[in-house]
Amino acid sequence: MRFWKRSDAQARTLARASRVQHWRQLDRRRRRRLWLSRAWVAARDRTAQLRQDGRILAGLVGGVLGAILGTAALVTALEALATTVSHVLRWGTLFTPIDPGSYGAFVGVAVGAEAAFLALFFTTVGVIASTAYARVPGEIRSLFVRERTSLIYVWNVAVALLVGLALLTMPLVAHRSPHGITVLLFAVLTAFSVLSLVLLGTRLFNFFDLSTLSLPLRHRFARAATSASAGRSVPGEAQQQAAHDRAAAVLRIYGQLTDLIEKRDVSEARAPQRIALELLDCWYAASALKPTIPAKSKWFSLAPSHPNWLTMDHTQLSTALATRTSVQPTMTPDPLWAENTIARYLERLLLALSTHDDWERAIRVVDGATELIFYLAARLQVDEARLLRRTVTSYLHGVAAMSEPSSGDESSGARWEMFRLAAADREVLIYTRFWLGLISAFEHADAQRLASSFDAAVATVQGPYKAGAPRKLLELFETIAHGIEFERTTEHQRVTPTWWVHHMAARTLLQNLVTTIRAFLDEVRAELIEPLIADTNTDAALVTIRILDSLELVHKLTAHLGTVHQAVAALGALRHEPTNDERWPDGSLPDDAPPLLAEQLYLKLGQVALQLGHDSHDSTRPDLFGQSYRQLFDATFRAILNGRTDLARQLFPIAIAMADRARVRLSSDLAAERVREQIIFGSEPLLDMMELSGLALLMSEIDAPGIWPDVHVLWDGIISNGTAPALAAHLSAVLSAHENLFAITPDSVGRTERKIALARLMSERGIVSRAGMWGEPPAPEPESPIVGVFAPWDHGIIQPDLADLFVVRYLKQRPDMADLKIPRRAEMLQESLDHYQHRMEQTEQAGDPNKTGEEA
Amino acid sequence: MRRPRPADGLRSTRRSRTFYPVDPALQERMQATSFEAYYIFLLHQDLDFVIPYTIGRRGGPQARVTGPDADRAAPLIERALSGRDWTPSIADSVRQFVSSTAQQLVIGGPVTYEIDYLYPLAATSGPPGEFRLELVLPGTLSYHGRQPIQYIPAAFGGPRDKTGLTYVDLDPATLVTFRLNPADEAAARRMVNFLRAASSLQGAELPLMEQSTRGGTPYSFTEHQRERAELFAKATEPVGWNVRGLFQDNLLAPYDVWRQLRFLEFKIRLRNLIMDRLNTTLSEVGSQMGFQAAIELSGLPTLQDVDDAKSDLRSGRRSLNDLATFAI
Repeated sequence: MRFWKRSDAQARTLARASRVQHWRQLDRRRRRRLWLSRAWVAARDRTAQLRQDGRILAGLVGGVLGAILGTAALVTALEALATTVSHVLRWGTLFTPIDPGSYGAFVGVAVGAEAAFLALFFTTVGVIASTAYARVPGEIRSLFVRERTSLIYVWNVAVALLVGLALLTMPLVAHRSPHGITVLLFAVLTAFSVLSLVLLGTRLFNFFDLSTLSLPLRHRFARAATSASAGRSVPGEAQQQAAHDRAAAVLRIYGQLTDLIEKRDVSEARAPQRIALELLDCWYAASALKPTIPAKSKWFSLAPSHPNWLTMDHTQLSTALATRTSVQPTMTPDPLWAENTIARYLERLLLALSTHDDWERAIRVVDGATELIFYLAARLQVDEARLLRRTVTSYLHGVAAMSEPSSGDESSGARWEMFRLAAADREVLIYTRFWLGLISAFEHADAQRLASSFDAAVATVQGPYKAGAPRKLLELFETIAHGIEFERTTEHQRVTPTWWVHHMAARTLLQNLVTTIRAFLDEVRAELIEPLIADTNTDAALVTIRILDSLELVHKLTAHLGTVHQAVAALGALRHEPTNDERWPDGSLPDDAPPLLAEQLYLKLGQVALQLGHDSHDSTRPDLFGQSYRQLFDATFRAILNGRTDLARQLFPIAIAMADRARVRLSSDLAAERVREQIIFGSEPLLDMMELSGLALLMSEIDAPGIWPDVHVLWDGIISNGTAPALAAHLSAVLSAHENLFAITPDSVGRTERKIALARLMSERGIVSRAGMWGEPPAPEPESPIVGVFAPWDHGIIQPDLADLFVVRYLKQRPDMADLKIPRRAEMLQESLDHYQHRMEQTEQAGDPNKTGEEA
Repeated sequence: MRRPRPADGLRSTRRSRTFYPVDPALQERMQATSFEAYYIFLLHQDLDFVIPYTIGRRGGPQARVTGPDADRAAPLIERALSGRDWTPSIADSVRQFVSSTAQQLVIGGPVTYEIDYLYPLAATSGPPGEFRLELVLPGTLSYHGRQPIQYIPAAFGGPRDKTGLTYVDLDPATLVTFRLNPADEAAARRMVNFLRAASSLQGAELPLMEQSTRGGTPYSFTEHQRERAELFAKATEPVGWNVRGLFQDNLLAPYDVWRQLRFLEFKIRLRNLIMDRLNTTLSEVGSQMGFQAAIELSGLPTLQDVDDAKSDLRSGRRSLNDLATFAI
């Protein structure tokens, strides 16, 4: 006798779950659902095929109908003509009605013809199958044999044949003559077959290219992915499994096609390009739908995950101990199952694309992959983006290192060189696109908007799949949404407050963001910059392209880290302060990394740029020398300005040497121009040299010792005793020429901008001109006349030129330059310096009480 | 079998008996209210904290006897509640009494005590000198019409009813019954029934796992655990008990804290109910013995505190850790 009742529904359910029948029943139900789902996916594919059939059929019908109508018109016209002229012309039975019994013969002949068409078709198919498809896996052959257009044709011929046979046998079997409409139908079908053969016959030969068979595959893959994703409802396990099976089958066929393309005797790039682009399409489709697929979906392949015995939950542990058994590993989803497969195929296809003539196709595929990387990073599918990036950069690195395949002619050598340069360019561009994609996800990050999107994502169990969240966040959203649903079931209300959801989601997203940014900067350093710095490749052009692209990347890193800081702040605003969460991630970012990377790159560029050819500019090739010179000059100017003495000291001689080469190149580039243009543009590098030297002198006065002693020694070396007067006179003449020119050149605008930057720096340090000012100056006047004369006015303008300073304080001061004629502006600068010096001496004497009046 | 012995030199009015259930029929009746089931035992342990053990300690909550005759009544009440001649403090006696009653009340249903008035042996009239609150063993109380009876082992001797069980008549005037309100009572019974059923199925997964390992069944421990978690959560919802956190599936941290707060709330309701009934009883006893006194608790969390904590949980004014610490 029991005094407690087990009549409660919950107790009954609990008891039922402890019986083996319950689990068998569940399994049967699951298998039944899987079967239904597979049938459903197959039916959807079949529907899609039918739609495709419809489109093909419509095309065929259009073509055939045109021919039929034309023929009908012709026949009608002929009949009318025959009726009209039958009274006039009596040429046998040509214009008179004939006995319908004669159709029998026509049908007999037509049936024979149909049979011949069928035989002809299969002979053609047989020829293709025995050559192109002789050694292909069954699935590929099946794709070919079941090709939709061919199937329609075969069915049409077969039906026509059957109708013809019926017409022939009907009088014998049914003892009645067929109606006219049946004969007409037969005639139409026969005509259709004839015309279809013309239209389809030539297309059959396309199938010698195996890749043409792959066209429907990507749609099949996308449909499978759609089937696994959550729409109005979340797909069940069976549906997910069926979708996985279908997608895996598609990828298997792609793998077989890749095998076949790889083993071809004659390399041809169109087929691998097509397959590679289709695979990228599949990847894109999978990526777009990934946030809508449950994180533990059977869409993903399953890999065993073994539990931790030290942190296992009590029930599991006690069961294992009681039974002395091991704990079965749980099967966890592999989120990169499809992507890993596609990456493996891409790796092989890209190699097949690397031919002399078709390298542009390889670059097109790489560009497609680069754009995909951008989208993947923008969706915060970082692992996926990293996988694709590594696959492509590994290939590109191989191409850059690959020697030219023996081909013979010179033009193919040049093409191969272009391929290597393009590959080197893409090698860095991929990182840049990755970064820009990553940043785009956090642009305009706003705490309020983030909060409302988090709320929407957990409001219902379907909510997480509408949020477009990255995997970790999706998992969190799923957990929270199910938890809230659980609360609604048990408590009949939602308990979990929104602040907790915001805190947890912001924490997860911030962790994701910070980890990804740090990892990316580490990867840029380890995978890109450090190998580049250590690269001893003799091909200066290749290394220069990489460096210049890397400089762009580093600049973008610096510029967009601000966006990341804003996102970190927006996420930080969602942190629940009272919780004092120890697991809240450290939001600091490696802001100091990009400048260090840039410094390394400039030094390497300095080494490599001097090895670049500086012949006349060829507009068919990138101007690597010119670009490098501009970059190095700018970097040197900023290094001196910002007091990065070590870097400036190393870059200065390189910038001077590059300027000299630039001068030489310009003289040949401008040979065909007017003298005025030659003077204006050809002398710019010399102005650059003097400006840079003048800046070095000025900054040494501001921040002693600076690099002026080194610059002085360098110029002493350049201006040797023999050439000194001539070179100095030339430099001075250049200044004079520019002084008298009223032309705004790009370089003169650049010099003005640099002066503004200098003025800003001096103003920030309190070095401001007091000329014409009332009242007490904000800071004491500089002791150095050079600094005092260059001190900007309050509105940030510096009057004298740095190049003049160099002439006045270096060239003119040399003992062998006493007779040097300097430009008027330089003379004025000299006067200002002397005047300032004199004024300072007077002030000093006036202010020193120890000095006698006479001395003063 | 134990028969309470009155203090030396005192005469007891007690009619109920305390015993070990040795008779099978009696044993079966009492089993319905026993703690001997895995999940029931866990609940029993957790209900021991209706009043925390820190009561009466420095800085902790306090219990004291109040009223015009507090000084005289205090030692009487202490002894009455503890059933012993000596107790460490009134606080410990109250804690012990309230916790024990709460455990019986939730797991076994209404709890009945018999007021045992103790008179000096020599006295033939006058008020009793002492009193005790003696528990009528759960499952042994019944009624013949309006007459309360207690089933007792046959060894005690006495009349038998139609079920064949020996019983003793009790005096309704000396019985004090603690009972939950009807809604709470129904919910508690459903929960306890479920927990008993679940306890009887404890370990049922072992053969299933064994068969599954051999490949005989498509059993999934994870799925089973998830299903059990949901059933447990639903069954224990009326009191908010979280089954010691054994089932964590779908349990979010705020909900876990919420359940702890709900369970605290339930314990406070139990405490208030028991204390009200106890003070009423003391008032009745006092009228017999000539004192006016009641027990007053202070420093314990109140229903208002729990409401505030729930509100803090919703608004985020306090952290989950703070709230969980409060709920313990």
